[in-house]
Amino acid sequence: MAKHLDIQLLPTTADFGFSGGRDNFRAFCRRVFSTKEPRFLRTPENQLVVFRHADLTLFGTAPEVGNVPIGRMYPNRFKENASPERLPGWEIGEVIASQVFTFNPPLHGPARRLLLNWLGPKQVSQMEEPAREVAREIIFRIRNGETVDLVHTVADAVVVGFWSKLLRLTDEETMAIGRCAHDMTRLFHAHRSREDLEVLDQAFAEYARILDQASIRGMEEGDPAMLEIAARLRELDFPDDPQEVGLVPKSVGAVLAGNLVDGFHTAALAAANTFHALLQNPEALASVLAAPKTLPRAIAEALRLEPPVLTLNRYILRDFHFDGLVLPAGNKVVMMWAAGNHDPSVFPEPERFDMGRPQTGLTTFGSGIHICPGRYVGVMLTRVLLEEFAAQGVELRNAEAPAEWIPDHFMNQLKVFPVTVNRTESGG
Amino acid sequence: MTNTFRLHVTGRDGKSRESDGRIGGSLLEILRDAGVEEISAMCGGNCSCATCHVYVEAEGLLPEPCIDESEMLDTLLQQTPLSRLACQVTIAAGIDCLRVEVAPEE
Repeated sequence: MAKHLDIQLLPTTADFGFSGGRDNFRAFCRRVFSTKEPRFLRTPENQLVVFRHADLTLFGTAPEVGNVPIGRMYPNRFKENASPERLPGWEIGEVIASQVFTFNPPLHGPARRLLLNWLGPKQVSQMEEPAREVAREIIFRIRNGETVDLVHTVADAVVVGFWSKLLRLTDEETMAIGRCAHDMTRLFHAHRSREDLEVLDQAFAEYARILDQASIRGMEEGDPAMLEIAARLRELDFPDDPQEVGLVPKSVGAVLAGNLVDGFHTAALAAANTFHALLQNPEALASVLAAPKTLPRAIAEALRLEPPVLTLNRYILRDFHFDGLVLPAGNKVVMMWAAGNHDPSVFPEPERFDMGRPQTGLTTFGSGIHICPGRYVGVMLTRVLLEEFAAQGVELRNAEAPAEWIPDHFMNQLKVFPVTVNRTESGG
Repeated sequence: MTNTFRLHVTGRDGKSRESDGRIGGSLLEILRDAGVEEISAMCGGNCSCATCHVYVEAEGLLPEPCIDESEMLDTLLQQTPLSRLACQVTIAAGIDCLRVEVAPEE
């Protein structure tokens, strides 16, 4: 007889020092992995927290564990006979409702393939040149001896510049969407205020409007990527089901807006975090620059140490039976993906940068059928940036002022990362 | 008829090894049983990530990829005519030898 997993009896993440943000995440991992118990934790709101590598894999690959449906995420917005009043968070819900991370089978698979057909490795390799042009121009503008914030001046600028170039945004739209991406950081605050929601609603509405216009222009101009998305979108024939399966996006613009939140926001974290990890490990950085073929391994290891996403939520679609326990349908589960990368049973001495360690089992981008479909773009942008710094003979070092991480946050996100630039004569 | 077949695997390091595989299993499980650890199969064998990409010399012994597998393979930079996703290949009776090469990481 399976025993119900009694979540209320579990210790909380706060008992082990985690309330959000990178700094207490590191301390949390040291503490929670120092013993084999507990197996699970809970949030103060009594949601199950999965953090050990084996359990992340077990839950991540179980068909019973799905995405949180949009109707469960924003119950007042997506219930039947919902009030037309635009409550706080309305615009966020409008955008996120088209995100593949709110879809479950049978919509999830074909919608995901729509994205992979655009953002798969083969397709991303063709995006490398525009990414390189953007990176080259941004790096070229940085003066020798200057101290810059790598987050704002480099990572955010390259990521926003890249997508804007790809989607053929105007300069004005690029500036505006950059501001929106910056404001989206509030989405991941552990304790969102009323002001956060107001700022987010404005940012999401503006961001969605820009991408909708870009998609319409793209189709009018015959952009093959936009036309392909439109064709595949027409094939998604599923009734709206906000409580479980999800909502088929209503336009190409909605596909872009829903699924490029991470593109505009989280991809920049991947780049900044990689630079941070490498600059904390100058020997590794030197060896990578001496042997550029090792760059993919270095980026994977840097992102193991500093994964952009700390936690994501999942939803139990059907009673989930495992190891004599049952977790009933309807539960929300917090998947602490970043902790999987710091589980010493899989990654010994997890805080040590070691490019030689086995890289199977990384949980940087999640696992299972919901693994991040945009991961190839994030890694490509990071690699191109590193290559372009090297090509221009630009060396970076930590500035006197320290890097700061955003506290109380569900992302592993740098607030500011001051670096000093040294241009060598070897650069092109 | 035996319930095993001879498996030749070449890893990313170019080194080859041989072992017996079980008829009826998925190629991904068989490769794991054979100790091939470099295949991450991040989606858990659900045709959703293509990180179990392999090259298989099957010479008509295997059914053609289904549409889902074909679409995943079409996203891969390292795709060749021999490309398969190990999670989607089931080894049926009648196969006595299979040569598999682990594809490069994307």
